[in-house]
Amino acid sequence: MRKFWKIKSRPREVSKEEVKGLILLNEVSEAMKADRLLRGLGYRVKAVAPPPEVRKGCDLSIEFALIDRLGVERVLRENEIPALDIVPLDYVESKPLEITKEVDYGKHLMIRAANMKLTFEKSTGKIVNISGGGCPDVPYLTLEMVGKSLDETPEPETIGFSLCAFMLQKAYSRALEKFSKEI
Amino acid sequence: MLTIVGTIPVSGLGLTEGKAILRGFNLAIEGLELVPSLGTSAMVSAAAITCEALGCEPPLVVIIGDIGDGKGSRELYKYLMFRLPELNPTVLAMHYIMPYTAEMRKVIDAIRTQKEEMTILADAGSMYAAKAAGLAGEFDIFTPDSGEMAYLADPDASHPAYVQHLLFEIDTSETINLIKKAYEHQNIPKLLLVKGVVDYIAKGGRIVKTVEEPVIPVMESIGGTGDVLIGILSALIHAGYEKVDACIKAAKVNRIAGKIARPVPATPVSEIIAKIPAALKMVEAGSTCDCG
Repeated sequence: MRKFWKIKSRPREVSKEEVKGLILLNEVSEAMKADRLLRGLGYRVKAVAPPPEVRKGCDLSIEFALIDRLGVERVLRENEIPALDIVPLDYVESKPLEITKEVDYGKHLMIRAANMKLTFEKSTGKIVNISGGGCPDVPYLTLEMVGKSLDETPEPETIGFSLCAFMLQKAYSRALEKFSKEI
Repeated sequence: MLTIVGTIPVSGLGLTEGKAILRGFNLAIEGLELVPSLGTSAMVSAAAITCEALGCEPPLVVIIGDIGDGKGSRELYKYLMFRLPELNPTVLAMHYIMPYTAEMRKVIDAIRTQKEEMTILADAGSMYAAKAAGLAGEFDIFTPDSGEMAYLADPDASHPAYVQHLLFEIDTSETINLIKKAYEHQNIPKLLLVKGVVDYIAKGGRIVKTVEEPVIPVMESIGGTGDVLIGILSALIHAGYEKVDACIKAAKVNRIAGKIARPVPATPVSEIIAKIPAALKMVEAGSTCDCG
């Protein structure tokens, strides 16, 4: 049954010409889960800020091609992700930063995504420090990830809840990519 | 009285209120013992050791467990709405918490009549919430880093994750312009201590002092060094230092403590916190650090 909904083999971003929809969710952690699931199933999704009138302070929503609505709703239902609402997108959206910056400390490399920084040992891939951020899961993620290697640590998007965790995931993904090239 | 509020990454920890004391490398609050690491525990530890070194009353801490699901944060906001007016601190430092704008607005409303007599500092999630709620002007000091400075300068961003790409690109090279921009948009308090390769102290959107020495580049990679800075700053203001002077001294103490600890990217923040009393003595004596 699940295969039926695996509708696209190659994910791509929603083009500007397509009518877009927005999944509004209660928590950033739900948005991260929905993003991961839908992307994995080949849906064309993008994490974006919700419209200003529904923002609480730490929010994330999912943009998708409105034509995929039925399938998207099915995936959310099957995975018990309660959408607050699904609405057509008619505001100028903003999306989380995609780019990262790097600082080389010789034996260590620091990757920064927005306010989040992850530093790892280049020879082993061991995460030696996490800094930045302001949401309460950042100290928690630090305890869970520091001291572990990049390929063994739980990923921020699987145990984090906030936009800071979402950005730490971007720093982590970039770090893993850099480490994979080093070895 | 200095009151510090924030969350701790301990699942299930209920509201805990009490004086904070640093015992060796461990932080003790009302029978609770914590090893300071990135976040509120590092900030409280730095404030506690600074208070002790200055011979003043230890900070009163109100903390709760929250691993990011926001439950602890909501309970803390709710508690602060009635407890802060009772505590009526002279210095209030707000730290890691989920940045919920409506809840932050209610907390500030609850202390509105007492605010004139208080110095209110914010960093981390509390600062994010204050800016996103349009409440920056209600605070006295923010302590952002360069990435967070870009967030404060961006009038539309509701979280640092949504900063415009252009501002992210220039955040470490154009800090002075970002401060001006943030001030124009009324997204910062009167006083700002921006931590980075150069620490900027800005008043009314204008730089009044920079602190650049000693230079310890790896400090940026060590989780908790920014938290230590606001901890030292809160304690200095609590001890009676004038605010701008406290910002300058806090920046110097933080850097010198880092220098004495001889850090590498893997150094835990507790090792830097332990050096604060020695660094404070050096700053008070007006000596520069020749410890490296």
